[in-house]
Amino acid sequence: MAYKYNISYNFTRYVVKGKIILRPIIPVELKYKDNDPIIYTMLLDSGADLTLLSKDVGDSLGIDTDKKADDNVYGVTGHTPVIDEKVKIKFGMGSRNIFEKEIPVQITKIQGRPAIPALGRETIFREFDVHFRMGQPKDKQKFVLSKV
Amino acid sequence: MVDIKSEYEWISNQNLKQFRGKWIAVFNKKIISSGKYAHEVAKKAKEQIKETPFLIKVPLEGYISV
Repeated sequence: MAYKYNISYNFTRYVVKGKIILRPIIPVELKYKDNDPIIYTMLLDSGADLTLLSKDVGDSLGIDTDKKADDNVYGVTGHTPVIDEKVKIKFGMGSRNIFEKEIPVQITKIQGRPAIPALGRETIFREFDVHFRMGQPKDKQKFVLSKV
Repeated sequence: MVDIKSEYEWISNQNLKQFRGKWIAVFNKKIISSGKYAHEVAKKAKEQIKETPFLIKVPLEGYISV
């Protein structure tokens, strides 16, 4: 399959108790309405339906996180109320291969949860074929977003 | 325009022990603000720079290595 372009990232390597954990982390610019954008490191989370932000991240973008919750999200540790919103995301490589789109996000009503903003499958996995190349030699361990 | 990739590589090679579990804002290879919550760190960063702030969450355990 011919892709429009590929965006390739090194895994972020976390060394925990001597073991190396590879995490797919991407710097992503987030912008809510006409507010100033902020760049965050986000975890590309194939297990998350939607993009999930903590209350404090939502506050930083100027989202009203004190309004009534729209929904609940269910995870391995239980459920939490969330607000549904849309933000513009922007990420990429160089000046040509830049992806920019307004996507649905959910914002928890809890500060610091999730600990790191999670970039879920909707919309990213509809826009890109995502390849986690963890089984390669160290210098080739990358995750690649191929634009369909 | 800040080179985010370069900033991220730089921060990955720093000793971030004192920032474990916190947010940090990075600009021109300096940590310009830090704190427990993103909105506080973003606000402090915006008071110091005109460019878009770059916020990174430092893991509670272990260290980052890109």
